[in-house]
Amino acid sequence: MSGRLNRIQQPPPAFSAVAAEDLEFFFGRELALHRVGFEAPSGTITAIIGPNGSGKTTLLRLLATLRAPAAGVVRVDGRYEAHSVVETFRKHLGFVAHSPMLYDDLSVRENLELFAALHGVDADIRTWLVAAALDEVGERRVSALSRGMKQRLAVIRALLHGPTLVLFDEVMTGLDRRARHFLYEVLRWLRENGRIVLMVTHHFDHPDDIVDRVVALEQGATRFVGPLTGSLGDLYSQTFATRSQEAR
Amino acid sequence: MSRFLKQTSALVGRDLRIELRSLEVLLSATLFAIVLITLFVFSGFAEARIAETAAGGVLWVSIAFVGTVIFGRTIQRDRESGILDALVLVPGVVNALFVSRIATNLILLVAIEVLLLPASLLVFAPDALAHLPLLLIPVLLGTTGFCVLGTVLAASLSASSIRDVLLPIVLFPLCIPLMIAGVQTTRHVLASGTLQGAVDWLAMMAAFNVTFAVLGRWLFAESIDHR
Repeated sequence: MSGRLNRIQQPPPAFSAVAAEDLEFFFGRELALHRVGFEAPSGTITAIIGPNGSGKTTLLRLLATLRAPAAGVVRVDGRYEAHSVVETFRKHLGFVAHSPMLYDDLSVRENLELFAALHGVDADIRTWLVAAALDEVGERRVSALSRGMKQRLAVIRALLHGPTLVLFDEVMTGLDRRARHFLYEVLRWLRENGRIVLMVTHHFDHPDDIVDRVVALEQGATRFVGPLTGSLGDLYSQTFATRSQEAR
Repeated sequence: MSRFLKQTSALVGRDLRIELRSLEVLLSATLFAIVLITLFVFSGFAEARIAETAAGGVLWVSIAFVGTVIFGRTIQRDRESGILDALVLVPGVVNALFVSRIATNLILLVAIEVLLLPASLLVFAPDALAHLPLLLIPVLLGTTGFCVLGTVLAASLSASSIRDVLLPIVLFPLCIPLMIAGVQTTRHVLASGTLQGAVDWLAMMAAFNVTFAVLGRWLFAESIDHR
């Protein structure tokens, strides 16, 4: 599979690091993120973990410029504020959500052609479909695809324009083995190509080489930021067990 | 071709392809139009002494109701499966989305008007059928303004769980000046077979269209892009 991905031409990364600096966000009066800060350098995969309602998806949406922070900045290469150069920043951004963000009534190929046209890129749709093992269902409507197929399609839809920063929001949920394997290959390929990957996940059974760094959130605040040395599951248990003990 | 035109044509092509496959909006809106005209006929609006006077009102009320069905459904396609987020993240797409959404709604509404307009004239003002070409001017002008306003409001309300209730409540009061101008111009054309004497109403419709387009672009962007 990675060999197939390697046939795809990607532009060089547009920047080498993205940092969240003291990000704050409110839902109404409720504080959803409180001074969240971390840096994600190029060629790394950062997992964002935490219990339900800890602010993971909100953080990802701020990083994607789908929301503006109440305070703090998303800084690119230590200089630019992403929300001040939104159009330029979005050119280099890929976003894959839990929902597939695809038109059910269009075919697999038509969805990709639409987003390639919108981005103004001359993407080799056939190569992408082969890489995602979707070439045999290219003419099938998205509504007729399995969840795993939809998610594979959603991933290549988000990568068509060669983004530097790629955000994944709980994309592993509900996927079969084949779809998860594809996603792991994509993650490795993105890292090899110097991309910055941030991935919200509830799954801790990823292969050991997938996650490089971790941001752990709880109730909108950062509990842990740093490289992953052991397993993701152990780190999760330690981080949030400590919190439980403190509470007691 | 500029990026804006490429994006707009890609989005309109997408909308029409989806609609032609499902016929979801066209079928429901056409059926709705037929029901409305039938109800007006059985309510006595087709009686000879008032039919020609009522024709304009019947036509514009039908356009208003049918348009509301179209606006609500087309914007919802972008909200489903979170596609709107994926679209918004494409640089420069908001302008294209604004124009393409109006264009699609306009194409769908005009497609129904192609049936609605001659049908209304046949039933309510058969003697005025010869004025049909002239009638296209106020109808297209009014329909365009109505589509701009409807598209913008449908987009701004689309995140609400009671959007289907809110859309007519907000849309109809705001489009009353446009509808009055449309009804008056239509009545004038049907009665006199000329646009002379209705120029002020046409100018008013044009002014509304420009105002809706300028303010609508800003409101549309604010509604879908929360950067």
